[in-house]
Amino acid sequence: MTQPTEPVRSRVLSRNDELAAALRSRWQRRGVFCLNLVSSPGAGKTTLLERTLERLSGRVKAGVLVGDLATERDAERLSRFGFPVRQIVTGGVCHLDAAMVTAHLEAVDRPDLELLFLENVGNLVCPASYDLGQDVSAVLLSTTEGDDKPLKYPTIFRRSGVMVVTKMDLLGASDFDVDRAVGHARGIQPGLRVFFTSCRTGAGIDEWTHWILQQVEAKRAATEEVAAGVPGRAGAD
Amino acid sequence: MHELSIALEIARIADESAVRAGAARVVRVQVSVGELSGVDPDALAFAWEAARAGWSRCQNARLELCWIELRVFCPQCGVETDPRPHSVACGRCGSLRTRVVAGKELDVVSLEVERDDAADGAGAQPGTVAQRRTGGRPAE
Repeated sequence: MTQPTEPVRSRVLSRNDELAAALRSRWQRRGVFCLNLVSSPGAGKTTLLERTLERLSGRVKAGVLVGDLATERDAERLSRFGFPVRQIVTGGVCHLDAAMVTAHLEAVDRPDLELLFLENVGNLVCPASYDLGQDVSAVLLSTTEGDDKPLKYPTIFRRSGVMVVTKMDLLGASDFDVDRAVGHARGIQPGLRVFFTSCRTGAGIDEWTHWILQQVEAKRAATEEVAAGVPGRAGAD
Repeated sequence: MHELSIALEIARIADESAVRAGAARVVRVQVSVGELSGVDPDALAFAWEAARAGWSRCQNARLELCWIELRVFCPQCGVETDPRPHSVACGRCGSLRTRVVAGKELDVVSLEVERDDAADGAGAQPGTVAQRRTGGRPAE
């Protein structure tokens, strides 16, 4: 006998999405800016984070969760800058999910936290499906990769708000065409903000760091406005 | 290969829905997979064989995948189109100022279940569990 029952939540990743929503409202409430770094392995997430943390030292209260399939090597590299860092060893899982972030949060979440970095597992496919409660995902693309990566992995570029082109010092060592890469990426995500960096020469790192600090300030200001009951700002446009 | 994690979630949702429906078995699970969902249908179908084994009501459940292509709406043209290749650009005018109206889905759309008739032991009867559909709503 056909007997319809209560409708169930139908998004396949609804459980992850609920945890991510809880994380997002936690950061919203406290004015913490959360940035999720994604890229293929070897694009330079950890190195970019090292140069970034170096510049942020003493300027902002930041924490870092770094995901890898195995080893604590990245956490060791990143813990030299005076910020709390926790390694999430996924044990072979190819992405971070909201449950992993939630489970490891206590190690880096101080009451005065202003900025949380999530360094995802190096992978351009799987991390795209899992919301981690971040404000923005930044996708790194190095000049030693193919400039057609945005065509091959559209989902991760579509879900990113920022693209960081890394290893600009190596431009010319391969056939990577910057304009083509940016064009492909903006074809799938027209609103993408793009930075061009080199961690060896330091090029572009100040602009990138400045943008992060602006986002931290904007998030804090928005939260303070809500707390002060300033009306009409949210959804005004 | 996150398709195994996705398949395990589908099996969990199907099994829990079957329990709520008072059903003994899940016969069929329909899942819509959008072009921009980041999920490979073949890998998901492969992972399903392993995932369903872990849930008693899903042991013989068939996974039916419905592939949903990317569609965009262009406010300038006022129409919905298949976008230009590898982009969200309007298929008619090429503008990038479009809205994605389909292609992001990763939803359990419906389940077909069987109930055991406890009263006379007459056997299983087919039934359908209504599922609320989120996302992928076609534009007017």
